[in-house]
Amino acid sequence: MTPSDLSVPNAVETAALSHWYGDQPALQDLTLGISQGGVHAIVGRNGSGKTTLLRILTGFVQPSRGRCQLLGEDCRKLPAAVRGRVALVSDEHALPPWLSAEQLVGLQRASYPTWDQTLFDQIVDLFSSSPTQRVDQLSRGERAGLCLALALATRPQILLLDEPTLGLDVVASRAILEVLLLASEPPDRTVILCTHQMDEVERLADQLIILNRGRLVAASEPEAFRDRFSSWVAEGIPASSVGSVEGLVRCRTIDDQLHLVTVDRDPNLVEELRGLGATRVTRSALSLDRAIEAVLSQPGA
Amino acid sequence: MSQLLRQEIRRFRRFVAGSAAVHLVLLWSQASLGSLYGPSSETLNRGLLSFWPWAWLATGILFGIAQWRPYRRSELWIFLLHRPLPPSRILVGMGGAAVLLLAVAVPLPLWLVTWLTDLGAGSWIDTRHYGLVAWSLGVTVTGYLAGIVVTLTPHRSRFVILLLPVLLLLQRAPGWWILLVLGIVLTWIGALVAASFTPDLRAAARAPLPLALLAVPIQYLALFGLGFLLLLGYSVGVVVQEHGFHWKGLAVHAWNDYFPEGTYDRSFYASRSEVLTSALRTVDTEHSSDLLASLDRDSVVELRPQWLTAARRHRPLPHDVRQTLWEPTGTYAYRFSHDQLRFERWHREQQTARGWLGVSGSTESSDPSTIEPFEGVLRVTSDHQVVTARRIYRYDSERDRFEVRFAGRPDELVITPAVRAGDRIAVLTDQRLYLLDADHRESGQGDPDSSAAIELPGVARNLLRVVVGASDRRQIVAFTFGVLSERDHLEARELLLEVDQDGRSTVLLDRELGQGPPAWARHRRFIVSPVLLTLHDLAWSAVGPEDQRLTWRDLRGSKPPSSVLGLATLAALLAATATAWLTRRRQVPRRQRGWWIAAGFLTGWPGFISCLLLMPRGQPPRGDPASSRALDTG
Repeated sequence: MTPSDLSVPNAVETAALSHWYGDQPALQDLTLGISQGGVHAIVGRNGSGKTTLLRILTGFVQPSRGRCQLLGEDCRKLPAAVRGRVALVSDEHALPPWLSAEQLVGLQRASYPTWDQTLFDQIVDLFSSSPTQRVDQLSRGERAGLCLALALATRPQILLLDEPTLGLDVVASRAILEVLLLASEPPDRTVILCTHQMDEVERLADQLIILNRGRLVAASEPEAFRDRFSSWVAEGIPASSVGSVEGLVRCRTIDDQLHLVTVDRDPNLVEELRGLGATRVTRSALSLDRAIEAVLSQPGA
Repeated sequence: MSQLLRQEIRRFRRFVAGSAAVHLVLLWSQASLGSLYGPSSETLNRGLLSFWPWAWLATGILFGIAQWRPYRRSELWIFLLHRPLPPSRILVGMGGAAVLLLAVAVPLPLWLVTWLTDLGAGSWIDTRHYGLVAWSLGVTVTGYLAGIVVTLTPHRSRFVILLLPVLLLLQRAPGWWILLVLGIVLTWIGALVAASFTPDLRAAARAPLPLALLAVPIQYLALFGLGFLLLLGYSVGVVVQEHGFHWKGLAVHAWNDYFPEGTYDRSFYASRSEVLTSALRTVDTEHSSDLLASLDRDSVVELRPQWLTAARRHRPLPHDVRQTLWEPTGTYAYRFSHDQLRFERWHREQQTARGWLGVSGSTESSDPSTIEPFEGVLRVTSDHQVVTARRIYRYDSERDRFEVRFAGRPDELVITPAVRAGDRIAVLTDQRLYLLDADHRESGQGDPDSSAAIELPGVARNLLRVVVGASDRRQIVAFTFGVLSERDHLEARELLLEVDQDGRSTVLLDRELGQGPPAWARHRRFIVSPVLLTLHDLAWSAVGPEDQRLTWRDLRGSKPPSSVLGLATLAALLAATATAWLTRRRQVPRRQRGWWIAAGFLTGWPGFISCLLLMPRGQPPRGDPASSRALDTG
């Protein structure tokens, strides 16, 4: 997380942000700052509050408690000008089914003075959809491409993406990824990407934010996050003897071998495990998705 | 915004074209069967005024739902609203398109048919019929706004908003005040739509203004619903007592048609001869027995007052009762034009206008200005009487002109037609009952040549009915006072008079009429909510149907008994306590709790019910905010 610059407000700033649906918490006392520029990936299990956070940021859900700002403006009362600088692509890629791409463009162009027709055409070409086709005649991939094109052609300062490749085939997912790479090029553009796809995170994200049950679990650069985790395989000791190991995130027994994941542990854990009775200990690096999985699958996490 | 407007017009163009075509065909068929507003289609005309407004309202509601229902899906709602425009402009764009489309579907065909009828048939379409065209748009737009509320508001009780357009169609505001009522309803629902039209619909629905705008119709319905339940409880109780102890109930209700002697209910429902026989039996003297024995029951007549409150000329809507004179040969009908204040002669077979008929005579010309108009017509009877505020005319078909049959004094208002009662003719004004000779002919200006002029023994506005019968060359007259109203029974009184041949009257009976049900059942709505009932009475006294309207005097004069006041106070305190408990249980914020408790006290149980329906069950837990638990790694 980049420290806040006093002259440039963070793209997103939340303080003790909470939201409940009925008596079910969606976000709990979330304090978060997302600096301007770069791609910020938000990951978490289903129901961890990612979509709610995006909707709060755009003012479509009023938080139950706490403060939330987008580009320095209170999300509860976003001015129209700020809304014009923020684009949102939802996971369902829903658009009015009775409109054609042409008509949608007409509508967006009239609303957004920053509309970039060339960029729109470029993106839509990648998905080979006809401008006269109605939305309800488009495939899911074509609709996703159209949604992304409509969002990016407004030249947003902040682009909010809620699982943009959900339910798409390999080709469409690849095309979306390419567009996102293109979208993240302008240095003053902030992309906030909610996703379950770790390859997207690894390829795109400058910062990784992990939410679980509405709470912030971690926020750092993906590589730095991944590097803090290590995987260990120990032989000759039972799982019950490693409970007191500091930094232990997960412990599983597979084929009489103890598989451990630790965070922020130096190599001297080898000695510690041997001291506990391990006959053989090997250490290996952990992939990002396994690190995230280890964090999110912790009991009570 | 203009782009949005165009998109919406394109989206619904087929639906609207189809609706307009169907509307046009139906209206045109109706016009072809007789005439849209004309005398030969009285039944259809009644249909126009009672069926079509409901159809227009339903069209508006359905259109509102059809246009906004897709946006209940949150992604589409976000697509619509998440743009650099204030939500109000988006609403104006969408709403503007809807108004244009609805104008094509509803008022345009109506205007077209009215205009063509006017063009083809001369001048018998009034200005007021064109007013109906504008009114139809107002009704449709009201329905449209209600449809938006029903679609977008997340409250389960949002359907209660439909009560407002329904009341709009039931009200009978006089003259141009009807537009004020329309304006209030449009503003009410429009404000609800505008207040709700924000990105987070759930949060908007919890804001004070939408809550208040939804709470009032709920409370209004609850007032009548609880009143009905109390009546039901009372009626069931009476029935149980009747069956259990063979006790005869003192009430009139669905299962008991027994009217106790000397009660208002008896006088209200009794046949006209029963009124006289019952009163004469109550007097119970030898003389009254003689009168009863010689009473000619077949010649007993009744006069029920009607009031011409304001000239109907240039009223925006043709809500008045049809006033048509039928010529004995059946060739012509004379339909009263409220714009021209004259009768238009209408050839029934050819369906064409053939001149005008006024006070001073008739003309073949299509220009009625050469003949004297009426002041305004209270009633046209089947025996060719035309009752105006000051006079009663009779149409002489042979001479094709009117003759004056009765002219009241200058300060009098005629409130009934002349009715034959034995060898007399009875006419009621707001000050006297005239019993004229049967061969009476009007001889002078404002000085009726009558055998008897009986001063009304009470306030004319409170007069329910007058019954006149003949007995042994005398007239027996019963006056019943006390108007049945929304507040149930006002002070009711019955007088029985005997009028001799010289016109001298003697009071045989003067009695207060007892109330049927007990006070708590009669004043059940007052007990439920005195404030709401008073507001309802005030509003309905201005815009209710004329025969049910209370006056200010009625409202000031109708003080409930102290037992009812005590019950109403107790009910309000209990409702406030229950509301306090409910708001605490549902963790309503402190300031809102105060408002709800005040509403519970002021509006009673209807206030509690509105709180119950509008305040959500699930509220966020109020624990200490815990810090976000991040991995302590930076």
